Order: sequence, then C-alpha cells, then structure tokens
Amino acid sequence: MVKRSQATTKARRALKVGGLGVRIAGSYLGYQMQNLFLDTPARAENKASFQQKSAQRVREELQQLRGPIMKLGQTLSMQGHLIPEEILQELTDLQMHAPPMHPTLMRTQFKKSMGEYPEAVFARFDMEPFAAASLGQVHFAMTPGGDEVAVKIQYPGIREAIRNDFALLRTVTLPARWAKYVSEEMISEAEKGFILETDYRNEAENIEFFRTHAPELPFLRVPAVFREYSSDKVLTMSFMRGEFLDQRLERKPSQEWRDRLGSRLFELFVYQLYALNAIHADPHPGNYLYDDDGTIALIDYGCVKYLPDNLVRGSHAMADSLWEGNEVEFAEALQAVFESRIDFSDPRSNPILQAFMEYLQFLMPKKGRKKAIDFGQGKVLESLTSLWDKVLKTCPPNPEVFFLCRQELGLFNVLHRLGARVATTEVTGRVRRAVR
Amino acid sequence: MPTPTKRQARKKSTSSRSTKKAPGKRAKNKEQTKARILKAALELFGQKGFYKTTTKEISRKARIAEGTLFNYFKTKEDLALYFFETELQNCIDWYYQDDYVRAAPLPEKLFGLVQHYLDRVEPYEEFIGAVYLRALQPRSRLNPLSLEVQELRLRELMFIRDILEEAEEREEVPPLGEFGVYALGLGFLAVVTYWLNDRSEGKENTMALLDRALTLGSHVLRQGGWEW
Repeated sequence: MVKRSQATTKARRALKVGGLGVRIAGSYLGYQMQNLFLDTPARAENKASFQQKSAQRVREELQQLRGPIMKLGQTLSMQGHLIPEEILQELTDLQMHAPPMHPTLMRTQFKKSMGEYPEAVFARFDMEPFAAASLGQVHFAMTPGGDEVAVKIQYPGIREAIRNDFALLRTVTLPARWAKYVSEEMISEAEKGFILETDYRNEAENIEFFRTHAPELPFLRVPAVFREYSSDKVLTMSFMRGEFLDQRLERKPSQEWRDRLGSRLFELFVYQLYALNAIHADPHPGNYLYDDDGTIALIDYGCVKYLPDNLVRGSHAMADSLWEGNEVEFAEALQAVFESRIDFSDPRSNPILQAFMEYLQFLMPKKGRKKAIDFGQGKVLESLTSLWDKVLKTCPPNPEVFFLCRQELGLFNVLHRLGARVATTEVTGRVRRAVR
Repeated sequence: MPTPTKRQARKKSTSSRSTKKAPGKRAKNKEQTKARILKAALELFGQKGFYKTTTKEISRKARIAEGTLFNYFKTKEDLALYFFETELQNCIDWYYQDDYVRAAPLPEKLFGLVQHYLDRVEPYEEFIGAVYLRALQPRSRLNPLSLEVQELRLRELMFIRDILEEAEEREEVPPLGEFGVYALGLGFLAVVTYWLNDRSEGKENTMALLDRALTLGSHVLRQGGWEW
C-alpha cells in the first residue's frame, strides 16, 4: 500500500474545511495566491518598473479584496526600512483610499444590521464615504438630535473569510526557521484579534475605556459612541476633525511643530504602556488626526490591546534598572515578562538580556541627558529596527513582545516621516513619575 | 450584433408584459384571485411545507371551492411556477422603475437586482428549496426541461440580455453576446443555490460572494482577460 505523503493529507484536509463553496466566497488569501502565479510574464521586465507596476497592482488587488489582507498591507507599509520606496508609496495610498462599497451594497448591509436604511435612521446621511477603514468604510451623518457623527459600516462576510484563511493557514507547514517565530499560539492570537476586531461592539467598549481612563493627556481627543445607532457591524461615533499626517506634512509645518507633535505621539505611547496598561494597537497613520490647535484625535479603536500585568510591571522594572548597571534587577524584570520560560540565572552571558538592554539604552539615552533623538534620520530608524530584530531573534516567541515590537516600530516610522526630535528619556521619565 | 431598434423592440417585450393585460375587469379579477390563492398557498407552505400541504387546504384558506382552484392551477407545481413568474416580473418592473439602479454601473446594478430578488423571496426559502428538489424529478413540470420552465427561463434570459446590451452600449463591458447572457443566467442560479445553503447571519456570505464575484468578473471583463 502506498503511503500518502503528509503534504497530500494536509491539502486534502484543507479542502475539507468548510467545503469548497465557502472557500470560493471566503478566502482572500486564495485570490492573492492566484495572483502570484499570474504575474510570471511580468518578471521579464526591468526591475524598477516591475516593482512600481506590481506595487500598484498589489494595492489595487488589496483594495479589491478588502479586510485582513489590507490589514497586512498596512502592517507592511509601516516597515518603511524593509520595502522599496515605490511599493511603500503605493501601500501608503492604501492606508487612506480603499475603494468604497457601492451604495446599494452599503445600504443593504446597514439595513441588515440596523433594520432600516441609513437615510431613514439619520437626519442626514452622505452616501459617499469620506474614509475607508480596513474592515469597512466611514460615512458622514447627522443624528436627528443634530450631532455630527461618523458611521462606520463593515464589509459583509469578513468574519467568515478570516476564519477560512486561518483554517487554511493552520494546515500549511511552515519552514522550521519560521516556525520558531510564528508559533501556534501566535496564530491563534492573531486570529482572535482579527475576529474581535470584526465586532464593532467591542470597539465601542474600547472607545469608552479610553474616554474614561485617558483624560490626563490634554492633547488627546477621543470620540464618543452613539450606542443607539451602533451594532456589531455598524459603529456610530462623534465626528472628529483634523488632518492625516501626509496632508498635514504637505503644508510644510515648522520643525518646532514637528518636534512638539512627535513628543506628544511618543508621550501618548509611553502613557499607554506605563499608565493605561492598554495600547491602541493599530500604529498606521490613518488612525491619527491632527488639528490646528496641536491636539491629536485617535480614531479606529478596533484592536485595543489590554496589557497583562506582568508585562507592565516588567517594563517599569526594566526602565528602573536600565542605567543602574544592575543586570540582576534587569534580569528579574525580564523574568517577569517571560515568566518562567527562560533561565536568567547568569545575566552577563544571556543574549536576550543583552539584546533588550542594548535596545532600551539606545531608545532611552542615559538619564540627565536631555538630548533629543532625531527620528528624522534614517540611521536612527535603521538602528532601532535592527536592535528590535536582534531582540526578536534571541528571545523565544512571545506574543506580547512581538506585539510591542510592532507597535514601537510603527510609532518610530511615523516619527521618522514626521522628522521629529523627541527627548525620549525625559518624556518617559515624566510619564512614569506621574504614575507613581 | 443587433441594431438598437431591434433592441428597443425586444425591451418592450419584457418590460411591458405586466401592463399588457391591464384592460378588462374579468382579467383583473382573475389576476386578483390568482394572487389570493398564491398568498394562501405560500402561507401554508411556510407552516406545513410544500409536500404536506394539500390543494384542499389551499382552497379553504383562499376561501374558494376546490374546483375553482383547479381552474386556476392544475397542481401545486403550477402554483410554484406562478410564484416564480410573479417574482421575475416584479424584478423586471422594479428595475425599469428604479432610476438609481438603472443608471448604476453594471456590477452594482446586478447586485441590486439579485439582492432585491433574494430579499423578496426570503420568507419562502424553504418552499424554494422544496421546489429545487422537486425539479430534479424527470416528470415534474418544474423540471428544467419542461416547457413551462423553459418559457420562464427564456423570459429571464431576455431580461438579462436587455441589461447586458445596455452595458455593452455604454461600453462597460466588451460585446459578450449570447455567451454573457447564459453565463449570467447560470451565475444567478448558482447564487440562489448558494443562498439556500447559506447559514451565515443575515445571509451575509451570499452578499459577500455576490459582491466579490461581480467585482472580480467585471474587473476581468474590463481588462479583456486574466493578464492584469
């Protein structure tokens, strides 16, 4: 009897999951794979034009597919250093301009969720969306009470599609060198995150959490939720004014403005990490709106991540012992983060400890030094990225660390585009003192 | 390629069918009775299922003699055919009266039409499922090869052809001819079958399938093939 190879068995199982019909309707990744095979003739063209063309096509395709893959595109575009400039430009466009659902689809989706067509619910409702969100699109409307609101409506079938993609992903055997970084735990974490993000009621709760717990930052604006006009697929919140980063940068703001804004963004991040214990986990620039008065509006609370206690405690302890030369304490702090998974008994020779220390010492130069880090310099961004890279390569797969990495690199990319100089040590110290 | 005048003439044939019978009190009464019977039957099908419902129960519910019922519909299958005919006509009328949908780009237009149809027939999902099963029997009048079904199908295809020709004239799609008509007709059947099996909340997956298939389809057609 011929023994079936493991790959064949897995492929067969993949086909079984959910049935073929669902697969046709519900896989974004499938479309992408198709696309990979289709572009072979294009490879003959010279590299630059190929890159530009494929970048554009990638964006067009991503826009057609919507949802999780678009999210992936956004995450990629945050990694400015890893991706050629042409592709980065196209991906940046993706962040702001996704194609709209046509009005018929949008109205049908709204009615299925809210029981009535939007124009019957609101005093005014703009059929043209003014923004694309990764899982939906946003319309301007006015409540019967006269409030200006943003109504986010989700594309249909997203949840099912995510489930399909992950079911498929699980059947794929990763090469051993990847498996080290992408554990089953991480895949589950990612899936849970995506699924949670598709429930707008969860996002409504996140917004309310920020409204209740983050009023200490005077420059931060958080929208209000209108529960009576919201459901799991429709989210109505107060309309926030302001401009996106790129629009703002086109007006050539002064260096002083850039520095101030950069400091505020950095403060917002460390405040979330050390004081709020929750992070607005979507670092792409489409989630921040800048107003003339220097305030920052945070929009899109789809994936707020609530940090576990040990991570927050560990982070505080790491910052405490960073410049004391106290490697034993630093090791204890790391132990808190990783719990019992690593042996830190010999701190001096531990590569994980060295990597973390090196990174943090670069990010937060020695106390007393008020000198700002110039994020506008490519070298700075490169160093920070490679230092993070080293951390990830030395430490065992850990969803929380991976998550923090994504957030911080996302933030640094924004600061880089902003060309901001930030006194990181001072800002961090100020926030942490306030918490104590 | 048909000339515009021919097209105009044909459009009349599908779009004005319902108004053709307008004169005559008798005919009007007849239509009203048929509609009353259908309403009663659909209610019973919903409660007891298509197979278990008897003609006797239908006539009682519609408050007519069983013999009278027989004058209008020989069998339950005729009732089912009448149901699909009415729904098709409703879609056609709706399309020609809705200025927004008529002016919309082809994918949105087709989406609107199918969604309109599905929204209307949603309460009768089980009944439609039963009809599908029944249609598999070779001797059933609901069988795809029966004259009655063929006639209905032809009207549907003519309607699709009118829509596609409009799109071809507006250069939204390259000339597709009869192939496009049959492909869309088949696609519609596939969507309804998928819809019958769709257990997602609010049949959301069908909506997603429809939107993606139409978007992808028109994308491919506009580019004239897969080389994009």
